[in-house]
Amino acid sequence: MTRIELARLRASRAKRALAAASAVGFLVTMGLARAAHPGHSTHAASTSTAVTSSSSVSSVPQVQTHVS
Amino acid sequence: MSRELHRFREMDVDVAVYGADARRVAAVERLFAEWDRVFSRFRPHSELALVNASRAPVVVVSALFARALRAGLDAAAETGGLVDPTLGAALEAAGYDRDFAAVRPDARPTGPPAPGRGRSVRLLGRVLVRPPGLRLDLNGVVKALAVDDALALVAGDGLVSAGGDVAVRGGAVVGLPRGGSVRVESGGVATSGITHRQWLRGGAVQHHLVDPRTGRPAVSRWSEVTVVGPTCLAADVAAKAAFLLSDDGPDWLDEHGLAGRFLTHDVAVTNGVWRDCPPEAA
Repeated sequence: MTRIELARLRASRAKRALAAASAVGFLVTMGLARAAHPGHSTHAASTSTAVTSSSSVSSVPQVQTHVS
Repeated sequence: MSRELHRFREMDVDVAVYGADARRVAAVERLFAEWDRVFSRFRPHSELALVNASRAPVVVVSALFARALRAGLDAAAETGGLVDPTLGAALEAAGYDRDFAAVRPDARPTGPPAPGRGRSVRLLGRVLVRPPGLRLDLNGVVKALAVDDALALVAGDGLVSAGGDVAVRGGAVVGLPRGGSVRVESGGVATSGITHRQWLRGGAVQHHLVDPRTGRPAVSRWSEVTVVGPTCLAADVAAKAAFLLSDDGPDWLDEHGLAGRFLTHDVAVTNGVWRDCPPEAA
């Protein structure tokens, strides 16, 4: 393996490590946001105008992500 | 685990719940109904409307409101201000000042631009300090946060989807815009874009994704961005930021270790994380 190839390998590993660290940081930040105020919504009023419909799902549930 | 898929409509979007019994589905419905009452921009007596109407520089908000605002402020910090909870005035200036179903073409010019002012907001527990006249809009985080909270109400494996924002525990197949699908074991999927909620104001097309840097509807290379993340909130915030960053969106997602799929009107592009570690094709 040439020096250039070794350098490329080190750079690739460093990039992967940086991406992994960034992902952890992002997750921690969002986790802290969620945990900041744990008390909520359990005192909701019982009225709702929503209509519920049900259908049977045979195996793994399927949904669609889209712009709303 | 219940194998029923329950559907209802709340917060102006379709909601789907899988894996919950009737009692837990009812709890999820109550959650969304309450969040709509608190965070709606168009209910005159929602907490958001009352906070925005108040001229007091300091107000005490509910625990739920404080939690969502904290999430919005954290999202602003994480995205360098791209996802900003202070864009209420900008949306109104663009003409989105009523339920979207009631927004009509309007020849009047748009109002003045209203850039984001997230840095002027301070939240100390439930005490909110902000400049008088600042108009909050928490819808950049509220729907996804509600989806994550709703999934927490589902015992065991399940999923919750609201308006295309999805949270999964235990596996689900998530269909992607314009075809294809991925299998997600645990986490969130969200799509942001401008293919819906467009309207005419002052002879120009407006949309709801405001760029906090300009205070105007954003100009982006992309029409839609889909992100797979550890939570629905993380995915949604990242999708909005990546959309606003336009050409730089894919690299930004790579730097944050998140998989993203970008659509133009005729091309689908994935970022490096998606290509290197693709969500399992379903």
